[in-house]
Amino acid sequence: MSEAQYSPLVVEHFGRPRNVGRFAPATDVIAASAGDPAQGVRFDLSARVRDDRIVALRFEVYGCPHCIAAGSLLSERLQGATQEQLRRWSWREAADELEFPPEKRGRLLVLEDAVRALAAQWQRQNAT
Amino acid sequence: MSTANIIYLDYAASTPVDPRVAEAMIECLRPSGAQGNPSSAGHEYGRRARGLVEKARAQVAAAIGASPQCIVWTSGATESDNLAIFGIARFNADRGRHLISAKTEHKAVLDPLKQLEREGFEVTWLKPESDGIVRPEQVLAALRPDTQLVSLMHVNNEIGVVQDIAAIGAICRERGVAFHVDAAQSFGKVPLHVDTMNVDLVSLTAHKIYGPKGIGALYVRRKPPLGLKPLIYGGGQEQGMRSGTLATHQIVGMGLAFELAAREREEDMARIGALRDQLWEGIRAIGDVELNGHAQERVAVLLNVSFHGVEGESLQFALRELAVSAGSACSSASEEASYVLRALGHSDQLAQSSLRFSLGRFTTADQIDTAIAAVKREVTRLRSFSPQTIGSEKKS
Repeated sequence: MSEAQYSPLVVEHFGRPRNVGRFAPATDVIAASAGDPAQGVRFDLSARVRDDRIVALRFEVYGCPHCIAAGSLLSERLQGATQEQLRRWSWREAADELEFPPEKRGRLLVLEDAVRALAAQWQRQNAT
Repeated sequence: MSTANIIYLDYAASTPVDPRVAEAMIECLRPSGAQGNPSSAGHEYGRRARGLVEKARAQVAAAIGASPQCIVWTSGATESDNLAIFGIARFNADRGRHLISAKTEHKAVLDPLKQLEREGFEVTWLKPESDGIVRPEQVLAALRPDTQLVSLMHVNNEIGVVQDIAAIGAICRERGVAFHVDAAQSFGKVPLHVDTMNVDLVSLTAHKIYGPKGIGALYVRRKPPLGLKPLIYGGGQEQGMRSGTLATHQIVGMGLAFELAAREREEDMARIGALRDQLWEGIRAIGDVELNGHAQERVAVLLNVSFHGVEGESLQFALRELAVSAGSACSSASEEASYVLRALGHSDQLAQSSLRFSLGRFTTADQIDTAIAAVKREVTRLRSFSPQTIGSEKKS
């Protein structure tokens, strides 16, 4: 397993992932997950929200170095995001920035599923 | 990352050449060395090279309790496996087309056998128990009147378990079936004696025991003689069983490597076994890990460990300061969990989260301490990222 297989940004996030963890359930916390370790990848996302914005996002991941980096990058990019921005987030953003190999892009779709599920959870929470 | 800071724990893949072996090989390559063709018996250059080749043949033969004329030089264990399997099957095709092997064999045995299946032979694939051991009774039950060959490895390259070759050999000998043993991973680690083990063909290689790459041998029983159809035709070297000019310097290297390994085996294994135990104790203390393969019937130099709750590729990349082998081919597209670990009943996921640590003559206690610290640090770190919600799934 050589360093050359991963972009410098992946190596950096893999070595020092940001915002790992989860928020305890609370009225201002939303949470969602996607994937299955048996398929090699699983993302758990949780976010503290206020006034239609994400105040802080935490992630947990079971996956390859690219997936760990993708979760970490996402947690930075979605700080301050609105519901609309959350819904619009696409796997392509992380694929380009982290130089995901084409054969691994399916794993980013799992992350996109987790983000979509988080947005849906947020909408449901607002509706109640 | 240069190799200078990487701890080499992949001796089962290949060993460094022992300086004593390298020196002997270099001597052959000097102008005063052995430039002649060992087959050129008509002049002194050739006779000198032949003398070196025959000395090495005697060294390899003595190391396994064989007569020198039973040793056929090859390019390595893969060629030896191919020569043994195709050689026996094709020579005896008129008498029967049934062969026996196991699912956990090296690819150099599996693939020739699969090719023979395509050519109309029938192979019984034995499945070892979850400890990786093939029971002699399994072999006995699989034997048929038309069985021509049983091919089983002595020591498994991935998990290091040792098969009961003598017992299986006795069964084959009694039934008059040829018995081939791939001993690439066993010679120099456990006793290997062709007569007491009742083996007919043994694949050997130099580069797993501090000799050079690119040279190996096949032991072929001579009394009574064993019919073998060659793979390579040409100058008729090696009594027609393997044509091609003999690589004097490689052969000299293998001869000395075998002599040293036989002489130093017990001392080496006692020291390396203690280091292996130290490594296992350190890794076991991390928790939620599994040793793969039989706990006792194993070589002293190898540990194969599955780490629960850690993804395989991340584990391997996190431990890039250690040169170890992973349970997965891990090139993303061709990601394939180890067929050996799957044959033992592991899930793909757990097989991929497995590492093979193999130690050798130049491994030090300091290296093992550093390796334990790295494994502990990185496994703990990766587990800390893992979703709490899959805690119950980690044992799947």
